[in-house]
Amino acid sequence: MSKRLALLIDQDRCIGCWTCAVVCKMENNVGLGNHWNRILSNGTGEYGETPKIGLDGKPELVFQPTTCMHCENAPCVKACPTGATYKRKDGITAQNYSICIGCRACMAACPYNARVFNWGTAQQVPSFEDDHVGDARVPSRPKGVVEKCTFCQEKTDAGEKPACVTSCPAHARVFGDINDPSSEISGLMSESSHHSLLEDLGTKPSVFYTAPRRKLKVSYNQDGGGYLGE
Amino acid sequence: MEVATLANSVSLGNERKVWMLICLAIALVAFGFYVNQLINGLEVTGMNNIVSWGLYIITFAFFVGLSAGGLIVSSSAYVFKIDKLKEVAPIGIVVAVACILGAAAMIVADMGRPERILNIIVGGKFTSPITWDFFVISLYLMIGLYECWIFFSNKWKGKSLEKRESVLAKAAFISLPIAILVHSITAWIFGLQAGRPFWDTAIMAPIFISSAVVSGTGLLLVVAYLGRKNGIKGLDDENVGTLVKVLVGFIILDLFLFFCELFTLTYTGGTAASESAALLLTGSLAPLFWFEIIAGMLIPLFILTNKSLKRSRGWMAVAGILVMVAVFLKRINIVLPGLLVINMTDSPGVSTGRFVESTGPFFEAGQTPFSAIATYAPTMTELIITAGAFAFVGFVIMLGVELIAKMDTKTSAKDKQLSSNTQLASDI
Repeated sequence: MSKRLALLIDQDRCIGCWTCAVVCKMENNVGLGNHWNRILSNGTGEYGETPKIGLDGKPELVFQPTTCMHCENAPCVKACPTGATYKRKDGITAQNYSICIGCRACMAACPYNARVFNWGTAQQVPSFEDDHVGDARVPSRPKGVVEKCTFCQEKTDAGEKPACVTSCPAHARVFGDINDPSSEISGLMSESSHHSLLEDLGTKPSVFYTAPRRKLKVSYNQDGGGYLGE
Repeated sequence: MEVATLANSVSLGNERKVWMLICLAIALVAFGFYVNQLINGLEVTGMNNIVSWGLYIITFAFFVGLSAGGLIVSSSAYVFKIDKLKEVAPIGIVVAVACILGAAAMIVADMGRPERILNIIVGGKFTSPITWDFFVISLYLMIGLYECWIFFSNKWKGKSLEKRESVLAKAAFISLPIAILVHSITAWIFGLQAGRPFWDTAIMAPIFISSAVVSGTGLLLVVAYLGRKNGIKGLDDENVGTLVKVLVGFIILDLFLFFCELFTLTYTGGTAASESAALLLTGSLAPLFWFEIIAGMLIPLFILTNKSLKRSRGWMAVAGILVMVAVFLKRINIVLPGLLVINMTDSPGVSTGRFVESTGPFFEAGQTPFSAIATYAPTMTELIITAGAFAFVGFVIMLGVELIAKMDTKTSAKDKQLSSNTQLASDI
């Protein structure tokens, strides 16, 4: 069976620190205002950092790191008129910046709003002459083209792991080939329940989530602490 | 003879010349703004990563629809052998060509890298509705120009009327299905997007075709009024009567189709698509939506079916303008709700692609590039470029009217010749 690279995110381990988002932005040299990777949460506030009150009366935050889902049945690939967005053999939905015409049909097609557009010439802070802060293998993008998470294809091609995976301080992200039964991700996925986002649309995403254990009951232990209703 | 005809048409069209110059001037100003957009990128527009299609695509869809009426009317004349409509055929084809040129201009204005547009042909992917649209619009334009050439070229003036008619009929047999295809495919750019539940409906193509015929016929009524005012033959009361009947039928069909769509979504409720429908019925787009329905559809319906108003060309033109406005609003009401409702609204939302320089502490509210609430308002650049496209379309239509005026004088001269010889031209 051919390779299918995928990402498993353990929402129980994710602490919502945004390290993966920041490292992604740096390594891939993403311009100001755009993010390939973002952390959605059930909280409120500017960055979703203000927690909701959970069922046990205590503050509760659930994080959902969200990026390109590298769908097997990718709507963006179907919508792209030039083939600038295409599926690689290893399952990555890749973007060819040199033939993208900037029609943004893929952005309209993406149900996850994962794609970002270079509305103007991308600006970086700090900016260097060669415009590279992070990984030098990542091509720079001109204005007027669409870009998005590539599963760090320059790194994964060389056998490395994506920047978000290696940088995650909570080890919440596991990356690998789910068609290889001996890989770590396959093992974890077979022993835990997992889901992907907007499954009913039939896009067959390659990013999977292990749902957090919810605290379902009011704690009998008035001192608090510890999970209940697991 | 030739000089006299020319002088005649010049004196007739002096007012038109002024209007043509005004249109050209607006189009040139808009082109200046477009050059600025090319230099700075699309950041001069109001679009962002959430509402990634805005006024340009709305106007594109509107122009594609507008051109339908013209081509469908002029082709029907030959396909269904409606002799009454044959005199409207030239103006119909001019309107079709002008509007499809406007549509092409809008799609180029919307592109981030317009210089790469030929990538759609070289290595284009046939899974994309945009590719289909590119090819079918090119075909549509070529057929339109071919029919224009038959109408206006001196080469065809020499040919007998029968010969010209048979060639036109053949062209019409191709162009009528193409006209319907163009609108279906433009609808499928939206209607095949599984990721946008509001757009993802099988009824999208029928809605586009019905509202295309509504706006196209509306435009022909306006052109008929202006033509009569400027003393150009072509649309007599009987022709206008036929157009009015077509218009009334399609307004009712259009209202019915849109009602079906919104009723289904509202009744089901609870989905992202019904949220979009709620945006239209009671939300931020409600003023546009209700103006579309009441002023743009119901009032014209009253004007068009009222017996005392029906005789007035002026009122017909008013109805024509109102339905055109309504169809433009309808394009807004289809494109924007699909984008404004995002599927995952958890905070902080989507990075908008627009960096706002912080003026205060880092976490000051409103300085984040993230937004879970989609907003869109066109900027001045967008409005001017769009106005420029409208002016350009107006210019091309007036240019066509000029040509038709010349053609009329020439054919009437030819009529005399022919009627003295063969009595064939009596019904032209």
